[in-house]
Amino acid sequence: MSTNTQSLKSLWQTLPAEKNVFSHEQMQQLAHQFQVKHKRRTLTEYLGFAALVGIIAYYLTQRSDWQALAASGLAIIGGIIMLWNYHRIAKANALPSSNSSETTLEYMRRELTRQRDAAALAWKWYLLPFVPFLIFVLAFRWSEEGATLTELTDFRVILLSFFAFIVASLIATMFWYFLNAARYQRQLDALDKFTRL
Amino acid sequence: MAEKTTSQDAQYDIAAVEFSDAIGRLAYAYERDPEKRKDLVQDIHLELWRSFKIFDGRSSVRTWIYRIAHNTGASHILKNKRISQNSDLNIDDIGEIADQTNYVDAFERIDQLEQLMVLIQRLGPVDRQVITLYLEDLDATAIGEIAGISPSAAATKIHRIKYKLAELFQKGETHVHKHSKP
Repeated sequence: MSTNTQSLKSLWQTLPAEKNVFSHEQMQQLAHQFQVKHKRRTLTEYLGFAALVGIIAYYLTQRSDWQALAASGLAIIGGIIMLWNYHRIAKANALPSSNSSETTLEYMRRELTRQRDAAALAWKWYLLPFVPFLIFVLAFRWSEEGATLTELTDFRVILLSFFAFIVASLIATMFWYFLNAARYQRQLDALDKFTRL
Repeated sequence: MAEKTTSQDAQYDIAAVEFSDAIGRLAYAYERDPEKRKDLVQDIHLELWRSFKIFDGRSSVRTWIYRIAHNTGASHILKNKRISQNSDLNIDDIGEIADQTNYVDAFERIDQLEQLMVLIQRLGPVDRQVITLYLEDLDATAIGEIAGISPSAAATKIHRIKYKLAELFQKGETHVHKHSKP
């Protein structure tokens, strides 16, 4: 095949592009759908948090001593801080993604830097709020039941499994965020290389 | 406020008619899956419509439209991490291409277009933007203004990418790497 300039251009021009011209009503509807999707995602986060509170509430029906109350309180505070951080960061970056006069290089650099920083600092806003809760529960269980940990009742097994699942999920999520941060950094390096030519 | 909305709508109407084909072609560079490509085209139109609310005329309308469209495409890649692996062109497209040529050439063109698509989709986002703008017949100055690089850098890039595309076409590498990651 000939790959001279004109043949490449004429080949490209034959691409069967769909002719899309949307009406204003369609655009308004699409914008509305976008907002609904965003609200639904926010609602899912709140429901997730509500589920966490529900589990804690169930735990409290089994035990109502001060240690259980303190652990539950720390978990809820951790959840609130995490949610608040999540919304603060999301709100700060809520500008329409491409709705600006930025050049593609500026846009790509901003987006990649934002995503890299968010991923690299995920430990701070995602894991850190739960650290007091995790430390408290570990310390408490160790001091209270260290000698009798082998006597596992069904309820304790469920509780410990749930606790282990939470910790494993947090570690896996953190690992995933760090991998993402490294990937975004590689893409930023590629952009820098591009501008140097 | 109503005046602003009217102006936004009017500007979008003109842009959508004039650049509809270019936007449709541009979407091929960012998404292979036909269904997801439709969504991408829709997203670009939505961003475009929204953008005219803040369009201040500091750049030309064409520059503005291409920036919005390519930034939406780049955002699509960032969100989806990788490009879909479904085929680029389907049987319905043969008819459309045949309308422009004839059925004998249509099948060959489909094959060539698929190869071109795979090659473009393997490029990085900014390279991808430079070459698609070049294929849309924009000059190096306009490409540089849209991408954010100097005209000479754009010209050098175009030359390199064209050379690379020609080289890959000749080697027929697209068939070997057709299912590789972009």
